[in-house]
Amino acid sequence: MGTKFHSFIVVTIKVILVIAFFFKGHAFAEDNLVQWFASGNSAYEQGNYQKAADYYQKIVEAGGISGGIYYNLGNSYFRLGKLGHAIFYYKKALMYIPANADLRFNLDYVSARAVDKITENVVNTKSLLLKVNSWVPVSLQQGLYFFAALSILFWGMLSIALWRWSWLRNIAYVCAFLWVLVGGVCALKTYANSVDWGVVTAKSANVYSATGKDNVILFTLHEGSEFEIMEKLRINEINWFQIELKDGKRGWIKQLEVITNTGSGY
Amino acid sequence: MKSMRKRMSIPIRVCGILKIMLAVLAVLTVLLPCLVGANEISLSLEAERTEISKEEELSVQVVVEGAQDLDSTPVIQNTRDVVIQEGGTSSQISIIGGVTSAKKIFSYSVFPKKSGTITIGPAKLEIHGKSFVSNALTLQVSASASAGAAGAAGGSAAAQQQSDDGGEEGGGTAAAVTPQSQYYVDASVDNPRPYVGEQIIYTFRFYRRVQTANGQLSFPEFKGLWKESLATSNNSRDQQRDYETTINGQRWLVTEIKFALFPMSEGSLVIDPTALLADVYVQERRQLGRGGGPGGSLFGRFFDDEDLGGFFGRMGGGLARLKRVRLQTKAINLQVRALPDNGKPAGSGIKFSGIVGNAKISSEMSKTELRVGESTTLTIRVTTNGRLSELATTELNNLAQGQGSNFKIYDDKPTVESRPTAKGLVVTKIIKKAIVPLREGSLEIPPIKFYYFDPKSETYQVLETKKFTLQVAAGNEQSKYVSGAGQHAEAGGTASTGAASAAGSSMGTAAGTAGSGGGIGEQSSLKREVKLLAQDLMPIIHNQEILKNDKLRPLELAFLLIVILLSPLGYFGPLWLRRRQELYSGDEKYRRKERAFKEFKSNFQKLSITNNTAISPLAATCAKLLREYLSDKLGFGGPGFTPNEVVELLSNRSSSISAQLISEVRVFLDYCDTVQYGGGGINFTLQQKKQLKERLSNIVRQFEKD
Repeated sequence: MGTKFHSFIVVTIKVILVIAFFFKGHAFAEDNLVQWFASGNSAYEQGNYQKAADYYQKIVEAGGISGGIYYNLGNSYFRLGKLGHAIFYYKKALMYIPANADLRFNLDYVSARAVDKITENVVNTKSLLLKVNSWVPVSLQQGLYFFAALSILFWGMLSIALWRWSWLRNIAYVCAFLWVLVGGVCALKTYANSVDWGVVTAKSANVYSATGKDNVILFTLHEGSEFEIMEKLRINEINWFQIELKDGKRGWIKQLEVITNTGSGY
Repeated sequence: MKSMRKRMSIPIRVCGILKIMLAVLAVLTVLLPCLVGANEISLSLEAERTEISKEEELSVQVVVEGAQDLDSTPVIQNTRDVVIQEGGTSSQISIIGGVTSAKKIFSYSVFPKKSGTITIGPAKLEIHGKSFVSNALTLQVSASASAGAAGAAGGSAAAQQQSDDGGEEGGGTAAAVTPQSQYYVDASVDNPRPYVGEQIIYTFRFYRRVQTANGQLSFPEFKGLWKESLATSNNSRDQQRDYETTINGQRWLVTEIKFALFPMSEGSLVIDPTALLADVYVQERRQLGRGGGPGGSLFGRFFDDEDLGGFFGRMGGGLARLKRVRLQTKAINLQVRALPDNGKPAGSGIKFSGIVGNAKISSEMSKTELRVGESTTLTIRVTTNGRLSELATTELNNLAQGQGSNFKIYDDKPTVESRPTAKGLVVTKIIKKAIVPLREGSLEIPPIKFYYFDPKSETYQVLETKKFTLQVAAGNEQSKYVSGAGQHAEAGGTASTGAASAAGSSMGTAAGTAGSGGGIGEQSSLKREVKLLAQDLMPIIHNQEILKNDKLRPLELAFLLIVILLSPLGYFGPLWLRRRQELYSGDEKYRRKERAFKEFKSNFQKLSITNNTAISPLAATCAKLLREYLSDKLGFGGPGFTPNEVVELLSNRSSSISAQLISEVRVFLDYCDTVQYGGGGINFTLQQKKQLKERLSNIVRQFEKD
């Protein structure tokens, strides 16, 4: 008994030390982030938008990935006249804070300035899922927390109802319904975040029929146009993306002319 | 067959030889630098020739002999008369008569800045802390290239060119270069004696009659001058204009780039030369005649698809080689004149706008009939080829100051539009003012006047807007109040004419209706929507809370997954307990059955055997443990039964119990009874006692197994 208690105490102390070390490191990192954040905000208010964008980028590079920082980056780039970058970062922010009304307003406001009018006229399962995803004002992180909380509630209430308050079972069934619903939302968000997409940052960018020598310019996109990435290729030191627009147009575009959200997704 | 064998064996032999050669090469590569290191080091500065023309490229090499592993690069000194570009390095290792020597060569391209005798060098190099100095080079630089004088001598190209739009002004400046070769550059300004702030046009032209490529242009800093591009867009192609022109009967291709320059201060200013580095195709051997001979036709076909293809086709040709040249314009001297004092506006009268050049003004009022509190917009457009930085129209705002003022005036942010034209940059400034009358009646907006300097007439001229008279109808108390509120609200920001107008008129109408005794419904029906003046981004987020990471970290994700996956245990665990509890509470037999082995095991472990352990109590305990186990396990009424009864009960109880096991139970119980009641005098060894215990254990295990 004594030995077991002793080992339990030792393990507990070790766990506490590890957690303390983790949070200490985290706090140190946060000090820097707070400083950069304040400097970025100050630069923005003084009209030094490039400097502000640089500070916000530093925060992102240091791992401070948040919807709010992407939102501020979008504002900075719009003030710098970089429409493509602004739309890109607003869309990134939308992945984390989809319920933010200011963000949705700014994205609509900035997107209205894009030259190209791309009408969505292709309806398939993918486009429907992505459409539904854009209506759901919950991020994947929030969804997973809801899902976990509902899970605890559902099983917990069923468990309590075993011993007493059997009426809790009815509430548990409601929780089960919500649980399934939120689970579906999480799956939808996970799928939507895994789709690679990008925005044109060059003033104008040609989209070619292929990556080879004798290709043809299929159409020209302008700054701020959004697209989905279907395939990536690297030919003669040039990265190419096969893209698809919402209206179904497809072609190949050079990486230099776009900014993309690929790979890591969320 | 033999021949096939031969053919196959040759590649194998070649491979073998190649392998040996590669091995030798590898060994040499490793060893040679070591061998070479022992030789003496010398440094020399060498040129392919010492007589060149001013625009030609000269290849110069710094040769380091006796060293290959260098920790620094040579520095050529005394280079004020030339432009030097680095061109790469190469190494050589040679073995002559068993003596190994190494050489490292640093190549440079040298372009002379002036003609005459110039000296460059020596080169200096530090190797392992020791300095080495080379010889110096003396070059004879002739004024122009000898490469194929095309007979285009004499005459100012700028003066004789036929421009596409025919709008070129000769300028008559000192910048034109006499073209004596097949390519040259020229820079000029349209006015070498401008006034301070007056626009002058700087024109750079590259004339050529040969094919060129890879041009690199270096413009000077234009010290003391404000420079504006005359390009129609930011695209680099729009910065330049290409056209053909004829000089002395010969056709030249011209590339032209223009800038608008504004002198910032009076006195002597120098525009430094503009330099062009380019590859030109020069003819080695010329054949006269119009495309006659094989050389001519070949050349014609070669350039058929190029800009100058037809031209060279007609000229005839020869063999062409690529030559890197550096062409440079002459420096241009400007004598910037101060604005004359005679007639210069001073004091508190009409102000000088700072414009030097042609200027015109126009003005318009959006409406001249309005009510008190409504607004109208005065738009002033000033167009000039001078600079507009100092232009301000604040004097009108004085009308809106003081207690008895008739107006409130709000300045909108002025816009400036620049338009490049053939004659230079034309700038238009659009100034808008929202004017809100505060009194009824006929109110006058006086003209806005300011001076500008006209360099052509060399006099100060006056620009003047129109005079406007506003017919202001009576408003009402509410509109006055709202008008005042609006002014306060907009005091810190920019006025928007349309909105102010809309707001003012709506207020006036609503108030008028109310005054005439209309009902609430009538009033509300007359109300207008508040118009949005402008839209802008929502502000950035200042709250530090946004620094919380929104992205799921691996630990966070792991925690959530564990919670999600383990939470069912929170239900199934208690459910299992509950079921168990129910079973135990309702069925004592079942409880005993479930606990039979556990209790047996507990009691069995307490059974300790030593040399001193008496055999009778031990046998009794073993028999008791087995009876209790069987009683619990098989649901017998109690442990008090004989071995025969046990056999009977076991045989009836379950068919899964083997006859052998039943027999073993009976034998064991008999043995125990025998030892307990009759074996007191027998001496049992410790081994025998342990065997007894072991037999008990085996029997119970066998039951659990079955």
